[in-house]
Amino acid sequence: MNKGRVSPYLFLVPAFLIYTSVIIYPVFNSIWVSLHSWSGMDAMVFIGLENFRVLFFEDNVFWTALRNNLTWMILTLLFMVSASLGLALLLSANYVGRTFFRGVFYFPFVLSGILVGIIWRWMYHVNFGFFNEFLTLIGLGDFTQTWLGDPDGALFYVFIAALWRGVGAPMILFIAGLQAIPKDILESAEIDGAGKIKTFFSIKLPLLKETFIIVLATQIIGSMGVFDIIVSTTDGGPGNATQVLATYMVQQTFSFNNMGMGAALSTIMLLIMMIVIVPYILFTTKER
Amino acid sequence: MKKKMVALVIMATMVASAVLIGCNGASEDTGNDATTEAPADTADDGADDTAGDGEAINLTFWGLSEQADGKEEVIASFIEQHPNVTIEWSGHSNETLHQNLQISAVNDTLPSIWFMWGGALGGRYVQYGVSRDLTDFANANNWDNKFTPASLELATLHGELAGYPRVVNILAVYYNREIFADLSLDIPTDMGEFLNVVETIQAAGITPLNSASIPGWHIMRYWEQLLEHYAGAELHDQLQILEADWEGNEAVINSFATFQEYADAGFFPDGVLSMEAADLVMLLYPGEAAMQIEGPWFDNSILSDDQDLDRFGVFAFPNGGSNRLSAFGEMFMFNDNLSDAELEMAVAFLDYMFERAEDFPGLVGRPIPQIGKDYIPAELTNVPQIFEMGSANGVFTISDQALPPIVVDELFNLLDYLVLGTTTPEEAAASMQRAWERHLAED
Repeated sequence: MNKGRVSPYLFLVPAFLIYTSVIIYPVFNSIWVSLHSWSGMDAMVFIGLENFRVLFFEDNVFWTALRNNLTWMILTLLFMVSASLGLALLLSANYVGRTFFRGVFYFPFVLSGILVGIIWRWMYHVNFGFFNEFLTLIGLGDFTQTWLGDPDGALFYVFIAALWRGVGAPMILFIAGLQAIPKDILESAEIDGAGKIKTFFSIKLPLLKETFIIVLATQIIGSMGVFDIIVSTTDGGPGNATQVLATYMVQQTFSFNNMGMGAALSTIMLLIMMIVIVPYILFTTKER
Repeated sequence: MKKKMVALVIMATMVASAVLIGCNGASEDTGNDATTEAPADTADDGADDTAGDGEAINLTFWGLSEQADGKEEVIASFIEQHPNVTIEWSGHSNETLHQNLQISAVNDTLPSIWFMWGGALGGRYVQYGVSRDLTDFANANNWDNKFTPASLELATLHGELAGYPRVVNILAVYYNREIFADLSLDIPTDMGEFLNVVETIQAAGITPLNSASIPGWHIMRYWEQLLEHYAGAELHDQLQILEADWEGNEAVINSFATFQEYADAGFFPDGVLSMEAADLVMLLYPGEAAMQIEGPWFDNSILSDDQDLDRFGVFAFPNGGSNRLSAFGEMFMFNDNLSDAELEMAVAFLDYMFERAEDFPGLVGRPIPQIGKDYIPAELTNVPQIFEMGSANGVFTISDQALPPIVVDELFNLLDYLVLGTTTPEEAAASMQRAWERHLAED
């Protein structure tokens, strides 16, 4: 073997060791723990797939949490992606102040999810919140709500807070994607008489394909891992109405000392995310 | 040849790293066994030690961030007198304290001393043998003459004295004296009078019972009073340890039914399910809510919020019988791995801390549960009355300490469902029974 062929592998060794110890090992260890009954303080007892059986066949909260994650994912794909694309289109045009507005829409993303959750919880507060005060002020007091106390609407109201916070990140990606479109193509389309709508659907949208893949993958992964904004707004309530897999995993692990069940939940989250991540990686590597 | 050498080096590195990771994993898996073995060895070793003999002693001490007032000063003062000792204090939020303790217990790296509540929360450390049983230490040091009986009882978990009692909390109804005076209301002495008071306050456009459902322990305080009312002391105590069934139990069903009636009648604040306990004073202080179940810490809270404490009085919830109040204990637990010398020094430090409580009121802020040291700052005017009521009426352990965590979580959910009207009192009683069965199966 010549030196040139060996060197790259040697350079990879440190990264491989770090990756193995902080990513690969914990993942497999977590899967191993999910096959056990373990409080975290006593000896682990191997129980096979019992934790998964309980989750799938006996645990209503698990199904509520899974359904909420999927609802969150659909809301994300529908509203987060379209809103960020819309903003990117608006903020890609040439006009004075566009940099300022880019900053305005991106700013909430630099705030922590916990902080955003606290801000919105107060805005939704039934007694002192902005929304109920505003509705009362404009004479629509009959339309005041309990907002986060409404089990049917709470998840959607929390999602609005997440949308406010998160729209800036995909927006920046879309702006970058739009700026990467060669100007001569757009000019040719204009000369050929294509209108703005035709240009968007026939030129911009197809050329944003790679950006879309990145945005969709990151948003789907993010929607499976949603945690902080739920904890800081509703803490999974009322009556588990906004429970998601991540919050339920923490509850099982740290409130109930049920490490095995918590690990089983994280394994299920991992598998669901793999359904998205594996095709995404295959697609992106194939393209190159 | 070179190719083989390189492959060998890489292989060896990988195997070494795998072994290292494996060792780490093995220590995690077996660490708890080692922990349970260790005390015998360390105790033997420690038997020869004597506290304060100049041997270096390093203690770590975890508690809540809100307990940090005065800690650094008292530690510095103690260390000045014990130059061979170091004490590293670390404050955590409520949730992170539990999480960090659990992670530390898994890795056998629990601190020397940690703050903990009684009941199921502290009981888990006893159950898994990672905290020190102080029974022998207490006997040898006459703790019966040192601590109040109630504090020792609340610190006794699974048959072990699990910790050094920090404080006993007794919960009473704080009420707004001005509202009661304006509406010519007397302190209710039975449930009939209580209901009249509540309805009169509501008719005046004021929320009678201030409470929040995030987290569920606040609104639970009302429900458990109703359970005490319907079950009476004996049955209530039996239910808390499953000596009586919850499913189909008339007292349990009635407690849930009345709780639901209170919610339907609007006795709790609008949006109670989306409110946090910390928000409640925003209704209480301006007189938009009249009553709130709180413990002796609430006097301090009112004063630190620059409110006039004279506006608020306390009474025992008139649940019937002797009107028992709910109570819970707080304590300091010790790592089971401590040597005898370390344990003695840790206890000496806590003794010193409590002796200096008058100099550092922020250290405890509530009466110290030690005989002859029941110092209560004069400005905490409701606290003596709460403790007098506790002594006279008796207490029961607060539900979220008395019941196992899974059952507590189910209770919190059920109270939400009852407010929402998505479950019935009968179904709630049956769900509590099932939660108990899940706990027993997993235990």
